[in-house]
Amino acid sequence: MEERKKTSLEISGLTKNYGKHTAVKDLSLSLESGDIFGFIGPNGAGKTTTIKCIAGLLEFQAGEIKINGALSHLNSDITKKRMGYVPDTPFLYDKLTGREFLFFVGRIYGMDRESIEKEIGFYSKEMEFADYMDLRTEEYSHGMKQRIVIASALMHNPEILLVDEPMVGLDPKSGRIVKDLFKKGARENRILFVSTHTLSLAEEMCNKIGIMDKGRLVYFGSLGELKEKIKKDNLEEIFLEITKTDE
Amino acid sequence: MNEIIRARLKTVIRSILVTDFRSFVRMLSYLTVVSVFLYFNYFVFYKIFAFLLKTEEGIGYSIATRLTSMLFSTFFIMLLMSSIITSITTFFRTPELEFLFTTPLDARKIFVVKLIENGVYASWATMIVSIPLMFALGNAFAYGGWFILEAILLFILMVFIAVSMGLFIVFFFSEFFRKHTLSTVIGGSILALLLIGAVLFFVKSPDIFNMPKTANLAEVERFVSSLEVEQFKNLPSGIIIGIIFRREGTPFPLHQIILLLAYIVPTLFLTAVSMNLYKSKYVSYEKTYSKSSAHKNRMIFPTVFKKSRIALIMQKDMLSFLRDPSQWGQSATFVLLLVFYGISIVRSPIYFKSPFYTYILAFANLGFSTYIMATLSVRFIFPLISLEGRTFSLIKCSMGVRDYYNAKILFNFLMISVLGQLLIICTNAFLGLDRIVVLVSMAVTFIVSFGITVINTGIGAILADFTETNPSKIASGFGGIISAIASLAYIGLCLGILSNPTRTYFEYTFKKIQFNNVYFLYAVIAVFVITAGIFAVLYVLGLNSLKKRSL
Repeated sequence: MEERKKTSLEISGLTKNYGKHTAVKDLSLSLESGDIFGFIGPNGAGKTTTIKCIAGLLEFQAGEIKINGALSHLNSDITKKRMGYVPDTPFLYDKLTGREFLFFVGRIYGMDRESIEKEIGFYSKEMEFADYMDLRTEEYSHGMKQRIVIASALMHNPEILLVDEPMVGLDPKSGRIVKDLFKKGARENRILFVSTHTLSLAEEMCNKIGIMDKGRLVYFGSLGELKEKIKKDNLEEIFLEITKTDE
Repeated sequence: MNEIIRARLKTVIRSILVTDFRSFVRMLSYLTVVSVFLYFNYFVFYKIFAFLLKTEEGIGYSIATRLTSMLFSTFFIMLLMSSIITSITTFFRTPELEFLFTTPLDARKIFVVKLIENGVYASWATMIVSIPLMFALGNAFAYGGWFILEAILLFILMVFIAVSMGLFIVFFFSEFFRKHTLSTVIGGSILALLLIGAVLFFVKSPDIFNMPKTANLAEVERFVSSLEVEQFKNLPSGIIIGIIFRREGTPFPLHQIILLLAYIVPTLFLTAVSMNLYKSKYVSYEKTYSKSSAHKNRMIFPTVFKKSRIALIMQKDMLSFLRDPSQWGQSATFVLLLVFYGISIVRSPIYFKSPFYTYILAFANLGFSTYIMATLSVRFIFPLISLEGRTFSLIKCSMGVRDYYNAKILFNFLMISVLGQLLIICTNAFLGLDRIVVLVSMAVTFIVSFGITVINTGIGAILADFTETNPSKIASGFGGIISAIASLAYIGLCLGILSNPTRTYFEYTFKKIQFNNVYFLYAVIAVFVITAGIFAVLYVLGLNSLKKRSL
């Protein structure tokens, strides 16, 4: 595979309100090629909202999102071709087969037939879905759907992959496959922005961690620095310490 | 865009594709039921028009055109309302949109696909009535195939105008009232439209059939010629009627074509505006928090019901219904339309207040009210079990399925029965009918409400789709159409049974002969027996289907 150019994702002062409720407040962070960023936080902390803002699914009231120095919303078509998005609830057309869905996505991203077939061949082997990809997706389990959706987000070779809760509903084997794929993605100079509640995943894979609490990014940096700062070895203990409710 | 349309077509084809013997039987029964229903509609319309055209002095022709014009106007208004209501789900809440908006697809292409989808959801119910109507018109008037084709094409144009205008109203209001939730905007739009309709109704004072019974020949002639002027002739529906009913030998309907263009051009412009606004509307639509303030806890029981699981399910259903704008918005529209219907009965002209016509009107009123109840049931009762979604597994493992099913039937029956009784009592009171006719109407409405509830809840349980979250889509699917046809066939059967004693009653009243009320009693008992039979079959089938259902 040819060497990918360096990519950067910069978010500064991102603020998103739902009516009077502030879901994300003044969030700033920056990531570079090869980063696997673990975005963790309690339920309702603003993780999914942040990911949706980056993916262009939500408008925000303040702040900027830049990809390689250019504002993402000004050139949304190009931005979208650079990104892949895996939502927390996988969406598939239930009457199409997995292969047809991947073909459909490939065509939307402007890929030719040959490249689509090549990518499907590669990911069906890598993610072990060859056995069922010619069945209708309405017959799939959650884990099977998740594998197809992850493959569909990767097949156009995005520079940035946004993933919301990748491990939900995956069995240990599927989990391992996904982790390996993410690590490979980082080696290929991608940015992986992974929102998760699975702290072991963040601890094992991520070189950068962001902890969200009540709409604010309360920590952003490497796991090593965080452990040193909080004086605790275990990410779970650190997480509970940072996000504990003030009595 | 081609890719989305291709995927859509594949989905539709695979939904109806015959792959095994079971799906073959299913498809065959579906096609039979739909064909019989369409033919029945055609037959009724054809008989009415053929009868009218046989009358002398051209009054039948005039009444036929007036009737068609009124039907088309009703279709247009219903399409506009439906579009306003279905657009919120189709353009903002479908899970597919989140996927499509993360791809490099142009938002305008997504808009076009969703506009077509919205048009189908908003128009299917009017289509299954209007297509047989157009065939009946073509054959009764002996206008030929070209007329039918022209009428269908013009009708599709009317659907486009209504759907696009409805959508633009939602986009326009929400753009100018961004601080309010979309449900408030939709509610406001519907209310504004209905208020405009009400003002027009009272200011214009429609004079349909308004002729005193003492009228002389000159007044009758004036009345007949006035009938040929279509109601709402400047609405797209009226213009279309003007075009399709142009008499042979008359010049090309340039005036109407220009009027129609005066609708099409602004509609295209407004659609283009909506198309360009769509992306910003979608990303600003607040899916997670619809209100900034928290809801009060409404799941508090009166002491008397605190141990009843049936009451618990009913309360949950009521809360879910009232907090879903696509549900309450559409029901509010129906209720307001019924209020207009009630007002039009009150305002029925003096000519109709003679005893003979009053009883005809009473029977027609019963027919219309039960028809409305059937329509409402398909839209609101049929999807209720499917809307339970994944939480059905919670219900199945926490309480008896029978209790759940009973709760659904009871809740649905209460809703539809109260509405039906209100409609019948109010309209009959305004008409000043005999006590016996009022009592028969009430008894029949009560039994028919139960029958319709059982049909829609039963078929809703047998053909439940727990994966679909859009109630309009559930109602317009395979099960919804089966349910609609079963409900209408049941109503037709009940009214058929009642028509015999009713006709005798009118005849005897007219001839001043003593009528034996036992004929009505027999008819009511027959309706009751049929309803009990339907209940026995569908209750068991629905319950067993829910018991066997695994998620």
